[in-house]
Amino acid sequence: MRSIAWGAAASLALVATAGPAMADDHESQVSVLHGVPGLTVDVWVNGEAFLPGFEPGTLTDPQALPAGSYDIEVYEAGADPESTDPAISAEGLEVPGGANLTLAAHLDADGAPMLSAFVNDVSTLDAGQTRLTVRHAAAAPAVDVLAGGSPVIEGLENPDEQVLELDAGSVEAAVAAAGTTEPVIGPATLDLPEGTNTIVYAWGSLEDENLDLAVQTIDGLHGEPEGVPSGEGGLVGSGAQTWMWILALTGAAGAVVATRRLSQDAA
Amino acid sequence: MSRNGWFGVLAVSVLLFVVAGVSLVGATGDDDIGSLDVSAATASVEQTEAEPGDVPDEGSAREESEARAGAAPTVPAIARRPASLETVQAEAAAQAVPVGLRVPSVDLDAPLDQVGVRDDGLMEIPDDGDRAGWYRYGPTPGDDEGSAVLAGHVDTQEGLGAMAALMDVGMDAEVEVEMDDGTVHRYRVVGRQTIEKDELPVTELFDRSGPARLTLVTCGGPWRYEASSYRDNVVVVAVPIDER
Repeated sequence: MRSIAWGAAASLALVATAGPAMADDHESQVSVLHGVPGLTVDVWVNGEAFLPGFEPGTLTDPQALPAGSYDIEVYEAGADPESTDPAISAEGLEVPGGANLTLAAHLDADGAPMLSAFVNDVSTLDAGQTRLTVRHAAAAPAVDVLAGGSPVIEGLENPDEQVLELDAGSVEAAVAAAGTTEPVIGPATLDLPEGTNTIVYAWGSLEDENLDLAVQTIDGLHGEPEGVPSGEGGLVGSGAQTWMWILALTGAAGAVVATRRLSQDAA
Repeated sequence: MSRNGWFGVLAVSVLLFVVAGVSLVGATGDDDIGSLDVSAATASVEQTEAEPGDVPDEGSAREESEARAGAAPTVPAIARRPASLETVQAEAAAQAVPVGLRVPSVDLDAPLDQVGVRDDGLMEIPDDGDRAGWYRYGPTPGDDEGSAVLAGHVDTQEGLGAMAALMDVGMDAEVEVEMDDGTVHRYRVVGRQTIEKDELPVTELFDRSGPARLTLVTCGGPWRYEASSYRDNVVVVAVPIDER
């Protein structure tokens, strides 16, 4: 068994603030990510078995948890909680109401397991936009995130995150040591769907050469177009300009056509 | 806390049932047809309103959990999945896209482009008036829910657009949307309305939930020279014809 000293209570970083867009202030949506390589665990919450046989690199669906204080204990899978000390015990995790959180077990920069509670941005995006959240959850120094070879995030440190809003689409993304362009993860094609927060975790260990990406998506954050500009000629209008078109079409009012062309892009 | 207390909060989420189609607010057309509150449409497709995504994989996850002998069988299973990039992004499987719109009763036949949003926040419309655009971020024709939006110019500098024919579409007219895999989805017109652009209910029009419907949009009403724009949008709503 891999011996781990989970320094959870000390390094538990919860900076949750309630999201204004959430309708229910009495509970939060909580997903759990296992980002510690090499150890399958059982997760117990408030003394109840919560996630048996939870494997590295897996993510739960979001669970609605009432706002309140939670004690989290993590055991090696199959261990008897009655006779075994937990590998990790985080007491008094305060879950606020109305937030969307991801509780992540991962390595800190030096390779010690820790827990982080990240707040996911679920605010509405403009139509056509996507959100990319990058979280450094790996035993590695500060990194840059490259898109198409150029840094779009610089100097990101464990356990921090950075959030970008972009046009929806695909990017060729890679992770490199801060200030360099030689990928330590990727490059990989990241599809960033419209109206979605794509949350990418860099996890694993640089030293152990098992760095990888874990991906969580939260969709349904889309906005809608503000209108439909679907006519630009004035041909079918009932207004005063229709007669000009008739003149124009018979060649009697070329000047009108010229005027119209100058202004056509506003429709 | 009881053993099941964690999931008591997974109470059935109440679906805010957004009525399909556009509201009557702002309607300006004297010759509108049908009622675009589409209550009839709502009734006919209501059974599609269940949101299986609300409790994803609970059944299969539970089976999986119970299959693990002795692993706290009474614990309600929480669905979990590999979070690797390959797994997550493979879920976005290639879906057929619409390539053609036909309304035979008014000789409307327009190839479709995939369109998005312009820099000014308005829906992108194909420059070519002979074509129409499918709002690619929203529902796809044939989807089980939401409003698939197809829009095109009523006219351009070159003349009338294909979508000008929408002005003459009647109730119950059949609408066909051809997909790139050869599938054809058939719809039936349940209403046509002329709505001032300022009043266009974009939230309903681009709604991604609620009953499945097809929303066709072009321009209409008086041409406003000062804005180089028509005052109104012409909106036609159609609902799926049950093909079973």
